[in-house]
Amino acid sequence: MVLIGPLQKVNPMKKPAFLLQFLEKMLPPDLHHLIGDLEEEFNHNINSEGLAKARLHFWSQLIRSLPWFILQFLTWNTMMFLNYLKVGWRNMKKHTGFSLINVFGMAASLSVCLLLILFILDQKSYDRFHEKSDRIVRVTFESSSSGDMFATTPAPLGDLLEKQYPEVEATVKANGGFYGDFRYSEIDVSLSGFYASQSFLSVFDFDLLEGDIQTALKDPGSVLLTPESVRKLFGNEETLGKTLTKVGNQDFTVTGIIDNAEKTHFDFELIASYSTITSDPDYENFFGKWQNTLWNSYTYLLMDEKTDMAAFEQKIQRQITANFMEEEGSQIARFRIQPLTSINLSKTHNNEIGFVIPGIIAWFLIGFTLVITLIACFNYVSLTVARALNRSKEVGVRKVHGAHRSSVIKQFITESVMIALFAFVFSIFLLRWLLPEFNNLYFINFMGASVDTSMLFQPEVIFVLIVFTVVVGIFAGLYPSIYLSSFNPAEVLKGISNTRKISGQTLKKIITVGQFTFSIIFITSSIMLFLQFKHLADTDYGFNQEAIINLELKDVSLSQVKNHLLQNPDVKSVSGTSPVPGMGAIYYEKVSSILGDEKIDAFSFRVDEDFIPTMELNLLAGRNFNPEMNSDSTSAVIISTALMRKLGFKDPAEAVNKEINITNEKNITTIVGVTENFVASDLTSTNDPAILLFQPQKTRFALIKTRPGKIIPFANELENLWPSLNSAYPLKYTVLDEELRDSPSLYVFIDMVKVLGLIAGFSILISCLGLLGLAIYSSENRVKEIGIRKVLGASVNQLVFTLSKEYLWMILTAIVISVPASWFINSLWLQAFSNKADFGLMVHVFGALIASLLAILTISTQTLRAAKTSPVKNLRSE
Amino acid sequence: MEELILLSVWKLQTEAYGLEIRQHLSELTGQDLSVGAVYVPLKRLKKRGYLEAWDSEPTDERGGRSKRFYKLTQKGIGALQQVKSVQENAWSNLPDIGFDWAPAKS
Repeated sequence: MVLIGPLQKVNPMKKPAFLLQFLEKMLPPDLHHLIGDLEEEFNHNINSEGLAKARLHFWSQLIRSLPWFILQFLTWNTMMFLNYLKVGWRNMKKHTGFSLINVFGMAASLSVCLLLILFILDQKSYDRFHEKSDRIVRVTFESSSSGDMFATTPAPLGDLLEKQYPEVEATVKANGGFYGDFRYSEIDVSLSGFYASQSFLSVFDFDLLEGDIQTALKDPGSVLLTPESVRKLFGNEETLGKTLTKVGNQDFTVTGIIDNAEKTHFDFELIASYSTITSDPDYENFFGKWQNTLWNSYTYLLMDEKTDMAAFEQKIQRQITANFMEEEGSQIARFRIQPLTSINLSKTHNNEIGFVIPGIIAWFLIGFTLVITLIACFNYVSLTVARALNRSKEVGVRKVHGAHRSSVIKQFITESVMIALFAFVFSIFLLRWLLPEFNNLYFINFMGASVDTSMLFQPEVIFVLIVFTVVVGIFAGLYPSIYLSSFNPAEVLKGISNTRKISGQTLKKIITVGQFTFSIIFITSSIMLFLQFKHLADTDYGFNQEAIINLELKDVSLSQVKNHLLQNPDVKSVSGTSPVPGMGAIYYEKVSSILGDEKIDAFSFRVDEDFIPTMELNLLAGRNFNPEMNSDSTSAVIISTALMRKLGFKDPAEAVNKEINITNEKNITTIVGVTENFVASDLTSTNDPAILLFQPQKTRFALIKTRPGKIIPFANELENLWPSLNSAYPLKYTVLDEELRDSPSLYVFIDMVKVLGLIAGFSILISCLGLLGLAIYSSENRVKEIGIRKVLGASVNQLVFTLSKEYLWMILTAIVISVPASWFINSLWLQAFSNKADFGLMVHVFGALIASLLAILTISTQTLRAAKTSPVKNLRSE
Repeated sequence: MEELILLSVWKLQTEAYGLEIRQHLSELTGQDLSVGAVYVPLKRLKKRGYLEAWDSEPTDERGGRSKRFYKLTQKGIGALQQVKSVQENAWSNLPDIGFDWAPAKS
């Protein structure tokens, strides 16, 4: 039988070229002759039997042998993979130093990445514990005036929707604003939560530890407590059926204990029945108008499984025109349907029922994770490419033995993934230490967003983390493998004299410069943050906050407090104010001079005549308020220097007795005095315009100045004194000095310093590790050069300099780039502070110096060693 | 099957490579044999030393792929001869199929 007849030209288009190529990819090289056989047979069959039959035959061969092909494919790939692993492991062992540098560098950044991933995963898990979580949605609306999203809806909406649309299976109505002081036999506790309709417990799957799900939220005046609230109010007492009083309001009966341990966007310490609101005649009056409920009522819907949410959202828009119109149109531009599970990490909605982390934060964190991943990958890339020479021979030999480029790529990627997985193990250890630190951050605590360590043991979380690690490994190995696999074996095996050509000098330089630029920016920024923090903490408030107790007046009048307390020998003076300066301003007054129209926003304080002496404000001109003068309460104000300047007066004396306009006051008012600037709102600014109005009857806080050192005994006495003032409310006071120091903006600063400090530390660590790798490599490869230089008479110092020169240049470039960059970046956030620390050039010099010193230290360990080795030893071996 | 493969390698002499062997066997047995049915035993026979293999220079006709040629080794020839003699022994002296004994009906 002669198969190869006269060769006819076969149209290449007729060949199942794609399949052949696929087979070639799939099958081990050992079987490539088989593919050749198939192709030859196909060509032969075309000639003898025609295209159709040839195809048929080819396909039948293919299908009948498919199981065998697959088996070959699998065994071949496993074999090769095991071989890659073996070679990778040998390589890591052979160059332990390099491997460790790579592993540590990667572990440092991986741990931060993993932490952020954990955080996002944790945030994503919110509200997933409800069995019907995928069917629960919340109705929100878009405001027509501002375009902002609101988490609230008019209260009647829920019932309307349930009645009109069959796909709505159940509605949960909730209303915020259930908060206040709750009293149970002498114990007062401030608690907050919301009102919720009966369906709350059936739609959502919160655990009712005690009580009956059917009736717990049925009757007016029912309340559910969390275990924590129970402990605060009742201790270990039996709780169910007990009555507690909302001070100044009404009594509630405890009908259950509700577990709030699950992760949810609801934030509550107690929940009252919705019927409490509806049964109250006054409230019904108020609730009758939907406008009154628009900003504080929430509607959750349990939808039928088959509901098309987009269509449903479309359908309910008609409710706006049908039910929620005002004369001037509607506040509501559009209703939106928001799935329960995407409430957390979504677009920001105003008036949230609990604390929700905006989606933008998640994106920011993801961006941050990517940057850190990049830093880690770059390190790997620069180190691997720098060592290309060492590996080039290996690549050459592999290729000569018939390895395809793709298998060389696979081999190097396997190696980088191995490194990444080792780093992963290390980073888990780092994470065990990082997690508690992270959870201790003030804002994490504040948001209740702590990440549980137990998350690290959940299989699906581990899976995600490992997948991430493998992806990072592949990503890091991508460039080096493509680069290394591109070597031409003929060139490489002949021996390359030119190291520079092959070890990716430019890339290495760019990466190193980039890393150090980032490190210096991070270091400088964290120093600046810290200095700014110190500056804020040490800021002079413009008033004397020592030995002052800040007492909430509630229903007690200022004069009553004064009468009682001034008799006390420990008390120096008592003053009334609203609000207390330095605690975040709440009240504004629009002020303008009598001539100008420019309205200036000024923080306003309602005070009595004792405010200035008690706070020891510095009166620069004019006089204090005088209760004897009737006109003072209607038309006298005292302003701060900042406001005086803004009003156009040159000095305090000029401003006194001048008249100004205040939008909210009917009378024209006269400036009777000018004080020095003080911290009106918070520490970020010491020169906000402020205005004092003489309205003692409107003050809500009493500031009590005690004699030096008497503040603690007086506070104890105050506890005894409070009952005699006959207040319905519990005593609430703080020590002003401490409260000012507890300012959230300071805590956030500490957080920022910690976070940025850590990043700066990691980033300089990774950069130095990278540099160390490069230095080791270059001193190893220049051993001969060093030997010859030494023989020719170079001193150790000269050699160290020669070896370090290259790196010094890189660091210098990094400094030149980073100083303006960090100046620019830091000026961005510093704009928010008018109360700025005075940063000189020293900060930048210092940041650059730290980075350079660490870098030089790193390099010198290698260069010194290389320079000191005896040339005899180096040059003898050949 | 192994025996048949060895025999066809023998028969095809210098033309003994995968495709030829398969075609030859298909003709002999009258069935269209699949790739796996031929290449698996070929590989096994090679591994056990009954066959020797070498790859030719790649040719255009085969999309730049080489042919893998097979040749019997001494061991292979020995094995074939042994099989043959065993079979001949077994076939000889068989009684005729008579009236009192007939093959089982399947």
